Amino acid sequence: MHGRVSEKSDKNGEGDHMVLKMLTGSQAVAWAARLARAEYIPAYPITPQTEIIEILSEWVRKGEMEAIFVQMESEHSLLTAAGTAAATGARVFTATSSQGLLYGFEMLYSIAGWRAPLVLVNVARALAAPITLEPDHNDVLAARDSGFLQFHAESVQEALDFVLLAYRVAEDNRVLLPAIVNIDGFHLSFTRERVDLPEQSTVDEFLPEYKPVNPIRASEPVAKGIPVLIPPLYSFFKYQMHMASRNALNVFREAAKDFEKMFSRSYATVEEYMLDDADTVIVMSNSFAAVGKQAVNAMREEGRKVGLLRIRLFRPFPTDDIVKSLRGKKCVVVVDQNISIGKGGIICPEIAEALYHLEDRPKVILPVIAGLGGKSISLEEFRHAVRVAERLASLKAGPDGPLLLFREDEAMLVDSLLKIASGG
Amino acid sequence: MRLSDAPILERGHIFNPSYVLVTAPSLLFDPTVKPLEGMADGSVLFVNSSKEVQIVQPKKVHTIYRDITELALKHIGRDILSAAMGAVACKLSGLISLQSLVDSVEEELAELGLAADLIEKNVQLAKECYSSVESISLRGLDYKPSHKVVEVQYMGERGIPDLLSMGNTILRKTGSWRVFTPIVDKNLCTACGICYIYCPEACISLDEQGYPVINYNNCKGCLVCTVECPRRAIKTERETIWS
Repeated sequence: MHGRVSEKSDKNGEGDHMVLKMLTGSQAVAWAARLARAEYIPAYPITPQTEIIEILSEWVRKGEMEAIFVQMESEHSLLTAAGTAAATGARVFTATSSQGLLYGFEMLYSIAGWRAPLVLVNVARALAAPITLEPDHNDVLAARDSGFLQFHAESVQEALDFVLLAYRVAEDNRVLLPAIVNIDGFHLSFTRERVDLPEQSTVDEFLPEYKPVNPIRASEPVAKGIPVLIPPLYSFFKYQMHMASRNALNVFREAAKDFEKMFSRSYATVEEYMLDDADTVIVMSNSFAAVGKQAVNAMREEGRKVGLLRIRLFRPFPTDDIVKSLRGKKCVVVVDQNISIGKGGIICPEIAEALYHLEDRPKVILPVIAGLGGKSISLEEFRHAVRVAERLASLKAGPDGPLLLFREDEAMLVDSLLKIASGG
Repeated sequence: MRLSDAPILERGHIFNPSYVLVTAPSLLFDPTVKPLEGMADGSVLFVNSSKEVQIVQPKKVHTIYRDITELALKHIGRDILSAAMGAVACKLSGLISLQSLVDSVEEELAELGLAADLIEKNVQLAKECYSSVESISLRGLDYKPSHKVVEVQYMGERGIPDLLSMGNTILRKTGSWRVFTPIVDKNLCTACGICYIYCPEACISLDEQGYPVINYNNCKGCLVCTVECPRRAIKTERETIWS
């Protein structure tokens, strides 16, 4: 299924080598689960996630992967099984999408509250209604406050690498929180890209055996996520979760250092793209950041000093790194591929809060909504947003609300479809 | 309930009560209840008890003892104290007239669907309780200084809500909840073990001869044993062993 393209030697020359393959995002995260030696995989199909569990079930069936694969009856059961298995000390992998994530939503808070580390891949898909299959991030961002760590991938390579990093960070006993790795449906899940597939021995070295804290054992009973009923006790445990999540920032940085040594790929919590001399910075996350970079290239050619900042680690929120990247810039354009109805983008206020107390904070932080339901974001729209931000800066004015990006040809398409729908 | 002519800006827990009414004296010694906590000098304490209780922290608190349970048993035949304690509170505070009290008892119990005769019994109980105490106005209340604010530290693995000490409910001395105590009459008991099986809290064990032994530290006084005993060998007594 995965034709070997070529082999290359590891740059460290430690005798290890990686294999270059053309993999879809689904294949890549399945490989990551396999390389991480996930022991338990509760599954439930949903577009566009299903390919992941199809691959894993086949590997398990053929005996190529040593794991227990169970098809559950819903995502609520799936997450319950995943969390409880992690609490017994099993390394758990699972995946869902969109409505599935929301159907199991209650359990996200429970699993995080049990402090049960596991990795859940969310294949982003916009939420109904109206129903669609293409991605935006209202599904994964709904889980923002649950206690799950969140890694947002731009490429198929990152999708694979983030699953490995997520296990390493989540299982660290300074953290002990579950993690979501977000990959965009279709744009990553069904798109083949070139991937360095790590060797099992190197992954084993990077990812030691999961050593659970107070695992549930038949012989040694332990109650997890006990009812507390006493308000200060509840507050105490929530504060502990928050501090554990904040610890994950440095644990991630440590893990990323080891990862770079072993796999020659380096990951900071954010990616800076052409930021050094930039006046205006576009902030994005996930796969559509690629088109943001393309727009930056185009505007650079036009002589505009534009750069892009991409958030890889969304929870814990890398406030310090964002401040380092954005302080002293003139304008920030936050492109939210999600919408909090009645407010605007979800990420923009977090960026604004991070920058607020700086003397040298940007003059304008422009909220922009784009790419909902997988709508493409064009160069013209990026250019328009940057122009609006720069005009506001020169007028010393602020935005009225988020820009809702749309193009004329898209408006015409919508108009024609509305005509068909109305029978006129 | 929150009622005042002026806006009430307290919400939730009452940390510095002016009047404290305690339905059972055993609660005074329950470490999880701590009914006296936050009471200021000059405040008023009512304890449902026929005799004085040695309170651990003597305070300049006006304390009254009445056996309201006895009155409830007399009027309605059961230890249901809501109308009784409500009546005491109304009278102590001096804010609620007897007529308002009677109207409220009638209205609220009718809402619950109680039969007219039972409502009338509750009204009689409320009236007797109302007349059993005098209104006590508050003297200058003097509250303790406020607490220090601290920062919670990260506790690592200890900060995870895991419970490792299984079977620790025995530490919670629920025996203080009893109004009636089950007492086994060894002359009638045939050691059939039925009470042992039925006890929902596993507070009954069997001795070497198979006779039941009740753990009074944890028995809540539900009296399931009394009902299930085929020989009617388990009697009940008003609780007095709360100290």
